[in-house]
Amino acid sequence: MGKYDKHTDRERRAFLKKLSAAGFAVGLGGALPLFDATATAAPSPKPLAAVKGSGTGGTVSDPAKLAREAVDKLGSMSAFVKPGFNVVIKPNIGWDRTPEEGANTHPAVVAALAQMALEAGAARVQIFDRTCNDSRRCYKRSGVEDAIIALARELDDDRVVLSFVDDIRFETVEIKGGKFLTRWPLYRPALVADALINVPVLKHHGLTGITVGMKNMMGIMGGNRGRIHRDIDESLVDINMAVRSTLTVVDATRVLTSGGPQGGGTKNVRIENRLAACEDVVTADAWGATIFGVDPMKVGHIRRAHERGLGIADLDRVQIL
Amino acid sequence: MSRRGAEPSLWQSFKARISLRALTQWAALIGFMLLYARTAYRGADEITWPVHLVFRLDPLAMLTELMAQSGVSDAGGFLLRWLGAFALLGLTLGLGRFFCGWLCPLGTLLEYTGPTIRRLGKRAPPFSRPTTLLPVSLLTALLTATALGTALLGFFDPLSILLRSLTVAIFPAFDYGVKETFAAIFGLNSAAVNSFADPVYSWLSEWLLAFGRPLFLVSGVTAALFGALFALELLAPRFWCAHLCPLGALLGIAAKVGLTRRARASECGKCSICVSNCPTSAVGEGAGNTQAEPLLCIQCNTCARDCPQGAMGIVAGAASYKQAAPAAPARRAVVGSMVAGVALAAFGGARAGEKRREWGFLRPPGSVGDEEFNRRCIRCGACMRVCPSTALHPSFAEAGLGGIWTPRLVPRVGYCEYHCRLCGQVCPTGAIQALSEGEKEKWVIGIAVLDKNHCLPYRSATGCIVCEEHCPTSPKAILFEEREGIDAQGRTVLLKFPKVVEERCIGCGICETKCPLEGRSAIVVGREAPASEDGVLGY
Repeated sequence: MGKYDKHTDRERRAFLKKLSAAGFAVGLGGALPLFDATATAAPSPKPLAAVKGSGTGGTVSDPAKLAREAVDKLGSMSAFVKPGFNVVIKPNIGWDRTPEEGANTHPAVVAALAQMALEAGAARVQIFDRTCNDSRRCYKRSGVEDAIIALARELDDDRVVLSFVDDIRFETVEIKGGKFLTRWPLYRPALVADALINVPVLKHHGLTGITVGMKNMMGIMGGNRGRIHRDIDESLVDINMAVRSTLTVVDATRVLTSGGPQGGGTKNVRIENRLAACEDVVTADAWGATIFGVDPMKVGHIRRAHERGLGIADLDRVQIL
Repeated sequence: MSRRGAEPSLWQSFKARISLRALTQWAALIGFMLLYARTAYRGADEITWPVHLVFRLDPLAMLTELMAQSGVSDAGGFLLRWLGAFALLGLTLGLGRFFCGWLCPLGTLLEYTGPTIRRLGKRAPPFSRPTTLLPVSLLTALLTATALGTALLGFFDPLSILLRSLTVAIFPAFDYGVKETFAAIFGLNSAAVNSFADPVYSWLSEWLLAFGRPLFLVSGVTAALFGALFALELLAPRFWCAHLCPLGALLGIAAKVGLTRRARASECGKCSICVSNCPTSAVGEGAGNTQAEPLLCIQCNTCARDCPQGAMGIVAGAASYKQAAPAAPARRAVVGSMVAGVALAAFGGARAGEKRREWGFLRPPGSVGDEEFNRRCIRCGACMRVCPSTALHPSFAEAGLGGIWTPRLVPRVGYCEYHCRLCGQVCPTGAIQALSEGEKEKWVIGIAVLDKNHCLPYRSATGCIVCEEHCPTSPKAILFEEREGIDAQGRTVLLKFPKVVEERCIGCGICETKCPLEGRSAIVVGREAPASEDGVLGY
């Protein structure tokens, strides 16, 4: 058994089976919304809650506590999740890397948000990502699988569902007004969610400079995603225009500063102990850029999102809580 | 000669033994399938109870490993590892080919599908007078060729045939059929339908379906040959088992030199039910030929069950056994097949295709040198079964005639997961060595080479660098240079151009898998060792 096995195979299978039996009924059937990548009105600034932990000496302080603090500053999870909501939490679990390596969202942040959504009365909290490495390996090594199993067991609550993305559940949709993405297979369970909580990890990315919330939405895209790298900036605005996240929570507890998006080892990982939450994904990404140490308007997709009216990247106009 | 009386109690006990046999057969088949199901990534980097354990019972696998090396360096370890195979040979000396009639999962499948196949084929089995020459000759030819370096035993090993056919052809087809059916059902977008279909699909995907979509090269040929074994049932029940299978022949030889025989009492009468009902035509006819041919007898006990006199039994020794076929042709056949084996090996050794591998031909991480690989590999496909990203596929002609069904890594279809090291753990004959954590991440499979005529930034000043994004080494083996390029409209644009740092590249192939171009990848992994020969054995 590997280093990351906290649960026996049998326990894990029993758990996943229970989840899958209860899980998928929500998010199937019924008509999809229309997808429109044209801005209808100029966005209004949304407040951003930024928190910093007290951890020192290169150790990550309680990420779960940071997540709760930030969301509470925005008026608690009840502001976004109403009783009976079908909630999707979309972390970045894209890589077969450990939490220390900074390539994936911290498992404690994911679990804390799931717990808050349950407390707010969600009927179902689904967690998934279309990963880059084998998803079984990513879910495991990222610590997210163990964290969600531990949460479900601790609360004895089967409303929380960690599931693998299944290719038969993608649906090809038309995106009206898309600059690059006009037609693309998207993951149905994310499209029909009542609340979509986007939980990226802030890190370096070779092509786009940094990756935060907007790029994390690639995890609901099917098909040959690499193709959008031809015009990554417009594509990311298109997908985020078409599928709006209800809330973006940026995990900057550890920041992978180079060798992203998957890194490897901890040499290039900086402990920041920061986290932010905002309704506006562009504002959240702009905050991430400043923490990373770059000008948001120098990051192509953040600038284009601002220009096309997806959200506000000018932090001077934003109330920081 | 021991006597079996006609008392009903004994007859009933025989009948009970028949059903005990069926139970044993199905238990063994189900056990095989359970091990097969377990042979997959399940959240741990070490695999427990993988399906390759069945090969520990397989003397052909043992002989393959024995003949693959110039000398057994660790005799104790070898004996311990193959204890099961030696035990099977030993038990066969006393019990005959019980493995074939009681345990072999392929034999069970053939036996229980055979009646239906013959009914559908609408013909009576015409092959009623077989010869023991065919299986013994085939085994001799294969053993000779294998001993001389062209390893062919695995081609015909029944356990290999079953495992690789399941892995490469049968299971993917089943998986595809089920998933497409459910995709069509979910496509109806009916909440009412989904409320029924969803729990069913969830249960199936948890217990029966593959994770992801396994798709294999050479699946058509593999399926056709597997189907051919079932088509042979038209000729005679368990035709493959009795008249071709080299494992059956080897066990048959052990049975023949062994201690017991099935024989009938010479005064039994003249009904010859035992002769006509024997599925493998092992029971001889006539008063002077009272013993079942141990080379063919699979200990199914049909003769004893069906004998109205209760005159069929097991006797000790070979004293009264009379060979049905004259000895000279047998000797001729054995010598002839040895010559055929030598010819096969010489042909194999002399073909350019056996020696030269294409640049893009890659072996799994942990593979022994290429010549030894072909000799060691039993072609069971366990590595292909366990590979989480379906990176490993059967070779066809790429590894020469002597390399058919040996695994190769095809990065355009799937890549080698950086931290995964399952294939080496499930290889039964050590063709792929088990690597430890840390060792695996440094293993060089090949190196990636960019095709600048095809790669987007180079050919059309379009941004991409998906390869750089996915490169798992730290620091990355694929870097990019940022500089200006001229796009199709003649404008100067700032672009990122990927480049490979060869001494860092391990050839995992994720860049080739993920290259977003259609069909041909703009970055391709080939069999080169950049820094030293140490990392890549035998290249």
